[in-house]
Amino acid sequence: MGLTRRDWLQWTGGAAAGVMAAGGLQAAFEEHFQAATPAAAGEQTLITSCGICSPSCGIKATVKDGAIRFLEGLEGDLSGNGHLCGKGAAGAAFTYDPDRLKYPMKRTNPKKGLDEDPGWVRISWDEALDTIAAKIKDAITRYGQESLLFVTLPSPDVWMRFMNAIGVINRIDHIDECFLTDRIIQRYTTGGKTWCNDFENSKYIVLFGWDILAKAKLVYANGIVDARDNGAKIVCFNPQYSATARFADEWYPIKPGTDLAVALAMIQVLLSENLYNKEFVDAYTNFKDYETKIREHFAAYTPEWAEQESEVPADVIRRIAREFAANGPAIVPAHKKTLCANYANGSQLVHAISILNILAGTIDRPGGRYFPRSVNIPGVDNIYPPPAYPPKQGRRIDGKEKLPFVLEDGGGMFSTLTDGILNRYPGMIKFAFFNFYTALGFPNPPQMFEALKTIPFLAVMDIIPTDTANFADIVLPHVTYLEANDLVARDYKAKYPQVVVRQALIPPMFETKSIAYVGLELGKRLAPDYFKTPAGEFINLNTLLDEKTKRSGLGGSFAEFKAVGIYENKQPFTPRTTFATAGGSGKCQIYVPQFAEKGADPLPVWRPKRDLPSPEYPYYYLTFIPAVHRRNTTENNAILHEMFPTNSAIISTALAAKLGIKEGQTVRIRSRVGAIELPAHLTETIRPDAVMVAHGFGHRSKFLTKAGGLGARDGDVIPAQTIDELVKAGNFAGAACIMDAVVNIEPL
Amino acid sequence: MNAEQTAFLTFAGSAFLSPEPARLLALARELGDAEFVEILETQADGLEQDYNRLFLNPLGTPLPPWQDANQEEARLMGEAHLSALEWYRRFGVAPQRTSDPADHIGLLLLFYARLLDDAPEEAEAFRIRHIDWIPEFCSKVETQAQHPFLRTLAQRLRQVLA
Amino acid sequence: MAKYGWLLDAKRCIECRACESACKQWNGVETGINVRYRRVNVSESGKYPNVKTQALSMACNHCENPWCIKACPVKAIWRRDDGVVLIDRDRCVGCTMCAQLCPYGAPQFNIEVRKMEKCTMCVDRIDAGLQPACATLCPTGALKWGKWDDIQNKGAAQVPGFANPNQTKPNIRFVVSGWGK
Repeated sequence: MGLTRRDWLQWTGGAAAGVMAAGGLQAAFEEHFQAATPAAAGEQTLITSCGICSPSCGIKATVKDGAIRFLEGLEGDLSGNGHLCGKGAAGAAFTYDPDRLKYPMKRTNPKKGLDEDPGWVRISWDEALDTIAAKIKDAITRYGQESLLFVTLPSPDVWMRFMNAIGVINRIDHIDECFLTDRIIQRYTTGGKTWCNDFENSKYIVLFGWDILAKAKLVYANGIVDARDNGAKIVCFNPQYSATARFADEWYPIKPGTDLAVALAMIQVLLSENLYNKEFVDAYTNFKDYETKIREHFAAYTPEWAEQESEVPADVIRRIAREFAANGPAIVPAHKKTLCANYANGSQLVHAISILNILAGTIDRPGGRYFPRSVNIPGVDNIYPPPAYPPKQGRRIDGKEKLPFVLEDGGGMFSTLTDGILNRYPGMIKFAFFNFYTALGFPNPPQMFEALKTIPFLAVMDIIPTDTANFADIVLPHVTYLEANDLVARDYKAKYPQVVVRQALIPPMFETKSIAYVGLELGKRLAPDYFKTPAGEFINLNTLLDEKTKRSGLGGSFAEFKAVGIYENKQPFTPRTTFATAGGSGKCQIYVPQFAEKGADPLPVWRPKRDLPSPEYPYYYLTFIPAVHRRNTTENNAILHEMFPTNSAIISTALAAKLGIKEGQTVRIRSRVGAIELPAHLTETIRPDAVMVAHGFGHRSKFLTKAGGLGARDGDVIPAQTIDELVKAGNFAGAACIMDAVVNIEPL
Repeated sequence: MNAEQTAFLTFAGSAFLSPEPARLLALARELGDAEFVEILETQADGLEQDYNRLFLNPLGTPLPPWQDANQEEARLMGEAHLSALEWYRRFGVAPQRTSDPADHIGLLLLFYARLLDDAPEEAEAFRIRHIDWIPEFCSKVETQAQHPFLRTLAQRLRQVLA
Repeated sequence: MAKYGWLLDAKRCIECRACESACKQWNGVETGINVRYRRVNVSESGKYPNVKTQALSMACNHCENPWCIKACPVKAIWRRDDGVVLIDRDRCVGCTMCAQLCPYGAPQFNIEVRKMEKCTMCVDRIDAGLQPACATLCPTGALKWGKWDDIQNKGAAQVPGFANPNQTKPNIRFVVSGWGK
């Protein structure tokens, strides 16, 4: 059907797009439509990176007619090895979720509560940023920097620069619920980030609570599959028989919180029978300097002793330790929540695991934990050096100053934040900004909701509506990773450097922006001297990305690199012979003198978990994250929601029989801090003295049209901590104790 | 449909795209619609809040104003978006905001009004594909809206489209 | 004789459900109405602590002797020359007889359009020389797709929990040999 010239002019008003003709109704059409060429958009293949979890698997995306059609893995990508997990494959459903945040909004109803309607009014980005800047300035002037609370990771670099530029002392992230203990221990025992596990070359793999397969983290899962194909033996200690246990040769339903006992006993066997890798230990560690102390320290941690604590038979522990030594390369992976943060003895467990890997002689060696060989992508402080940042002054809301190693690290602390806000320094926080975090991620979320009520001004930036947003004064909509641009180094499996691009598959929808934009714009308003280039102009995010691309050697510009998509330098892997441990000895440290100097344990000592079964609370509380979900951010994704819509109380058939609980019956799980009610699901795969609940559910907002109102918050029964509790427990590396609870179970 | 009704469709489309009271008042006067003029002159307060609460609520949208989001399987940038884009393209136009879904109720109404005026032989096919979902949407707006402007708008639109 | 089939190595399944997501994405299968062409079914056996689990990713087995075709009263299901079994949605009247007879739960009732639908082996992909979406995304090689000539001798016809293959002769084999590339 052809159009006459008269029709064409009529459709476009005969004027350039965007020019308003006279007459309101007549202009309405032109206000919202523009001339377009009739050519249909074709099909494009674009390379990008996933953004659901940190390994950021490479994506080959099919985009048709400006809409994301299909996501699959990227061949050659080190993280995903050419694949995506169920979450990554469902990524477009985040971008196209009708519930996603779209425009900046402010509240007009001053009353805050989970059931209050905030009375949202849409505002422009400029108004949102002006308001937030004014609130920050006011808080600093009247109450000092300590009155600002930023609950956010320290990235991206432009956002961190803003926080540094205004002297934020209270920046809190969730890393104490994740890898904080491991990062601190590695700083002193091996000198680097040992997140890379060379599983495909391992011959003996011991897993303490490490449940990566059941979380579908492909970068490691692929390695475990390779290890199996290459004839490795896998031993799994976990109170639950999960998908990870299914991949193991031996599974032991260890008593929760006692992995430390088994690890200590394994060290005892290796030392007392002299089964450790002498060549590595003598050449590259401080063993000889502290040998007597070390041998004496571990002597009492016999397998017989460990059996009493862990219920793992002594002869099994002894045999596994011997096999570990004889069938190298051997590895004990650590990293992330499942063993770093769960219990009060997390610091000790991670230290013991590091020692096992050191004794196996596989630090930065084939088959072991190794340091990533990364492309050095310079940050904004490197490209546009800032003036000196102001000193961070004031009181720390999370009490980190009482834990010197946590203070030095800078990460954390979710587990002490609510105590800080409600009890230690009530009323100190006048302004808070939550970036991509919500109360559900804290222990004892109801306590966090109480804490939020005491904060006069709250800004929330996120992708999906959260219960925390319900308390916000201003809500800011963040782009999804499929609408973002970045350079992503492969840090989780990097024997050679590799970078994969992240490029927007579609332009950001509605008025979504990135947190980097927020950092830059607030910086322009509140600390302009920190946001100028040497030429005196304000930093431009696109130019910055071009500079990063150029200076990393990835190409002449970001546009040039994104057409290529992947950069790698397949340099040969040269194992390290010096180790950058703190203190400058150049060696791995088994005994850590720096810990002793500051009143922490220089060698791991046995400590039990914090909460132990009692007559009132006889059962262990376990949590997990389903393979198709990620923290508490994916429950509303249409595809993932269908696979796993809600949580249940998972208990063994034996325990159910004892308590008179039937499949599907509602039970109440109660701890010393709270209670939840869930339908029971019976299984044979879990210890009969435990109950297991999936994390991430219990979103209240009825406006989350899929996830809202479903399930219970697992965190409601998990105690938060005071900083003094951590100190008293010898928890010097700040483990959040995110699973350290015991409960009562009652059928209803 | 007569000229008065298509003009109303343009008015309704504009209102769904932006609830700015002063502009809507000017349009209502041009339309010569006494009922809307009266509401906007005397009760403009709270219109934006109610609009945001219904259509753009950051806690989750109870009445997402895009056709795809009102199918049983709610999503954005789905079949209706692609189909609307194709319709617009055939007539040489595209939405101003290219990064937003093309099946916004306001865009569909504006386009439908133009079709009725300038290419009425095409209007029926467009109505079946992209307008027939609107009366049910209007019923929900009537039930859930608190502001009289939105309730009246939905009621009148449902009548015009019947 | 079918041209294609599935090769399932259940021990390699990590239950990541990339196969389910990929299928949903590629085929635009509606969410929220419990229609999933492919599902990972996890079953357990034994008693604690001697417990075992098994994860089987199941879609349609595009059988040699499809009972769904026999069951359909309006001849809405048909088999291509290469063995792919497809439902003609225009002819389907939603009587659900195919679902009642299929031993594998492949045909499913879409409550919105009141018709049956199921796995199509991604015919648009295989006709373009690609693999079905599910097999394309499986990270561990638990789910493979390929020429039936290659697959039919690569494993067992049945595993626990899988219906007797002699009934419909599904084009699927289960790897029962051990680890190793």
